[in-house]
Amino acid sequence: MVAREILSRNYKQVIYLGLFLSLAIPLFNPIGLPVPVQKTTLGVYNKIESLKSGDVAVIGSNIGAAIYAEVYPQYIAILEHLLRKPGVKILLVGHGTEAPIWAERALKELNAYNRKSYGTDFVHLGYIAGEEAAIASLCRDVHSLLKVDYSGKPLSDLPMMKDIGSAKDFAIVIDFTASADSQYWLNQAYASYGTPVGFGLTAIKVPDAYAYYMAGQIFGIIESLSGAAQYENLIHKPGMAVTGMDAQSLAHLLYIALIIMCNVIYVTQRRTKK
Amino acid sequence: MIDSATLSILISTTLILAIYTILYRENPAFRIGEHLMVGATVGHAIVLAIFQIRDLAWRKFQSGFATGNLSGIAYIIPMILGVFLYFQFSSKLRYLARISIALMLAVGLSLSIRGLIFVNVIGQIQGALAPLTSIQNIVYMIGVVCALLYFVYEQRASKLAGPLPKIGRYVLMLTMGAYFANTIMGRLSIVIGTLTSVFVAPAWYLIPVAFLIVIADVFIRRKSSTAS
Repeated sequence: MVAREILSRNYKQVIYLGLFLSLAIPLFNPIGLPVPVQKTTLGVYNKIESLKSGDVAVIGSNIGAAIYAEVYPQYIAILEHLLRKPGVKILLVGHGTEAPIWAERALKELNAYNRKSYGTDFVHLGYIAGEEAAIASLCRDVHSLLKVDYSGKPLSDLPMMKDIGSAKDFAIVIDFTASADSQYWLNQAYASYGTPVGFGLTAIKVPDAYAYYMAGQIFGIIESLSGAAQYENLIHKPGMAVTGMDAQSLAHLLYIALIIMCNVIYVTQRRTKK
Repeated sequence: MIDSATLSILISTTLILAIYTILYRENPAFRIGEHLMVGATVGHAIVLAIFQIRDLAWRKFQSGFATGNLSGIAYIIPMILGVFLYFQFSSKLRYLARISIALMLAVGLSLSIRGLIFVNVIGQIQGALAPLTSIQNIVYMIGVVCALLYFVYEQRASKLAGPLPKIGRYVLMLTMGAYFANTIMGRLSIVIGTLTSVFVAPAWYLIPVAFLIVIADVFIRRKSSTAS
């Protein structure tokens, strides 16, 4: 009777508790469910694999606290892959205010400053204000927009930046974001300079991006935590995303069970009323 | 003695748990967490904006002014236009804010229009006209045609189209279903990410404490409601 009373009065809280347990248990005891690799993720992986020494990969680091859980594992996996590629130059830039904090955190987490030479192999430009106008200026001429990098070093002192002028010098752009601003790189880098663009997105933005993927306008999409888990497996470095996928699968099973259960209760109640 | 890293983990976990208490009910802990989050984000954005104005405009103006370089001095114009935006709050001088807004809209539109047409119109049509050599392309083509026909409201044309607009409606419903499912997946990912950062020592010791506080509150509220 007590259980029934609690369920009828606090059913929302009971569902939240169930969800919490379904997410928490696999995080402590990973089940190891398989994570099949999608074509969209493979597109990004193959594009990075095809990069040659001297190619410049631009990383749009528009991560924030609100999307950290979905996009940060993707960001880490892509950066790790790029750092492993010998001679490939990485240019980090963001038009989100929190972008530089997360970019620096990722670089430190991956030990990039010791693995590669700053200024020769990678440069962090930090945050640029102005949304699409800033991206347009960056694509037109990096040096006229920015004189210094994130830490205040003059760009003219960084050897890598001497060979980079406009978007014509970018081999690829991968933008990590949660909002419509992924469109900026498509509008400015792809449409104006033909630079190949790929996305690392939150789940809610993925259906939008599929239109571009299907039309061949982007080379790939990393889709939320599942895309990050796939990428971690591709680069043989399982991390936060792979662990999280077990929890997500179990929570999905809980949702399916709840939907079936609620429908069964609804149909049964309707029949008894009749 | 607690080191700074441990202290930062403990503070962030306390705030995470405070925010999650909204699942139980509206309470002061949630409001403190929410206000701190908004305050910190806005504070950080303001500081960054000031640095951006300093680096992108003020310093260029200063050096232009010192050397007599006109292109540098011209940076005073965007700064003045920026100040104009604040006249939005004055009923007498609001027209000045409109100049800045109009300029921002014009620049934004002119910058994006070319790319938008190329990406969202030409590129999408090219994509839809892919050779019908695979099932995926055929389904894609049918989906595009039917979804477009759903938005044809002219009666005779709708009759001519037969069941296609109805199929278009189902295509739209499937798309919205995909959006909704992806939203749920995204929200779950956020919870997983948060839990991953909470399930580390010593942060996870705070979880049972939070649960105990909530349970105690449930009992206190229940007791006071039965007493009244």
